[in-house]
Amino acid sequence: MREPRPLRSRAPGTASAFYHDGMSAESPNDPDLSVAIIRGGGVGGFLTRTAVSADSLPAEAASGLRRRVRSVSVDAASAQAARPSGRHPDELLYQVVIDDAGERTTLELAESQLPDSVRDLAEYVDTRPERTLEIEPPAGP
Amino acid sequence: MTTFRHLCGSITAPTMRPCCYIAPPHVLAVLAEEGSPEQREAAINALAASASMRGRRSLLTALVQAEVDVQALAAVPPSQAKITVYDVAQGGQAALPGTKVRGDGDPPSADDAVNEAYDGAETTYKFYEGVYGRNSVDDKGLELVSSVHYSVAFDNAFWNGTQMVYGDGSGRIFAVGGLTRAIDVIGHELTHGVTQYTAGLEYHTQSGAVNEHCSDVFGSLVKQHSLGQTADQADWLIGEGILVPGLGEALRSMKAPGTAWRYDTQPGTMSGYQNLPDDTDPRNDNGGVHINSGIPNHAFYLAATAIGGNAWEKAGKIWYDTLTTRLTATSDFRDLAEKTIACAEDLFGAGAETAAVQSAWHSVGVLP
Repeated sequence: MREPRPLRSRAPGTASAFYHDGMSAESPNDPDLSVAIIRGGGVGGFLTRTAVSADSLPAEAASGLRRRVRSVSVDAASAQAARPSGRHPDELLYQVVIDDAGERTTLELAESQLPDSVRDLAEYVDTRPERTLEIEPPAGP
Repeated sequence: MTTFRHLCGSITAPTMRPCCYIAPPHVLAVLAEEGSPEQREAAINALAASASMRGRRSLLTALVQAEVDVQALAAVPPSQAKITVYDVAQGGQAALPGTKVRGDGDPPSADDAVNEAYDGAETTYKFYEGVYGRNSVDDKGLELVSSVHYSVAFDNAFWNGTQMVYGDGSGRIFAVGGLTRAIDVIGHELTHGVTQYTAGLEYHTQSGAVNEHCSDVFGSLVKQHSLGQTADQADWLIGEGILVPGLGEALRSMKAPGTAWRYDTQPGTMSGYQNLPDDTDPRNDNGGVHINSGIPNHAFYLAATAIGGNAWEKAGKIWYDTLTTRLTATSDFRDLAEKTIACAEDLFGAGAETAAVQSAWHSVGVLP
């Protein structure tokens, strides 16, 4: 049996500390929020890093990003408790890194474990024109 | 396939994985000609079920020459692939498999991805059935389920333990629609199913790299077989043309590992082996399963081209038998090397084929 995938955070405590909301979801100014989705594995074994910062987004989109981050926090406890059923060949491995007001939270999940909220956040980041995309070999920097 | 089973000697290995020894065609032909009525019927059924269309024509010729009553063959329907394609309509894991859009006997869809997934699964099914006598990934006729249009602009295809899943590609890494167009990628993924039902290779570190390697081998052989290419004619690329222009020509090269795409770091020998952590960090690729697979991949290429001819016939047969009857869940590169050599000797004696396999493993540094 594989060890559970960790939910890591610099913040002490449990999954309830996954997200510290310093602003309301409606706040148009959210300069300290950024999200990176790092994917590895897959049929190609590629490593990709897609990232977006709230300060690069229009106010409405920044609020959308904040809202999705908050949804991820709701799912954090269940994601943390998830026990992988095994490694599926070629499925993507995700590392979601949320930097918020100087605090970093990292979530590592496989495709088959991905909560809808994390998928929604990842798809939102993927489809923002302001995003950055880097492609690297596995074991890259 | 019931009567086919009558001609298989099933045993249970210590690991409780079933092994099936299939009577070779020449033995079946003798039984079809000289056996008891029951044996004749079983042999003809088995021959008909296990032969591909091309193989069936050759077989027919052989049986005519042997004065076997070939009329009986016409009465035996070919075995049926059970292939189903679903549209998951950009949903995720929870939405799988989606809505059924094509099954056996259905006309082609207006959706290219549906037809490509269906045709690719059928081609792979027929390859395994015709070349190695295998009835689907579990050798028991398991329905091959594929779902297309997974997630949004999803850059991946994978086997989730029960079915195939295809994304559309984002157009930034994989070409849009590219993942279902590549027959070797479909063969690669379905071979993960074969591995799951046979050796059960654990998907991390060296056993994971052997798992990936076996999928690349048979993915490439499905493509070579479909194109009628010999080992010398094949390009030995995996996923040729599915990346966006500028990123590279393919995902991997078995002929020249490390050259397929812009950041391809696959080693071709043990001197380049990357000892990556076996953890949940996506940077480490489950301990480098897609990186270090370049080493056995290159060994297979060297063996197949040294043996010559159609790679699926001898080199492929050695690897197929090794995967399905000799490897275990924790087999590493050395185990794979030793067992393919032993398998080659059992199949072909201590001749050129065995020497080619031995030489290949020495060349890539797995054996000293």
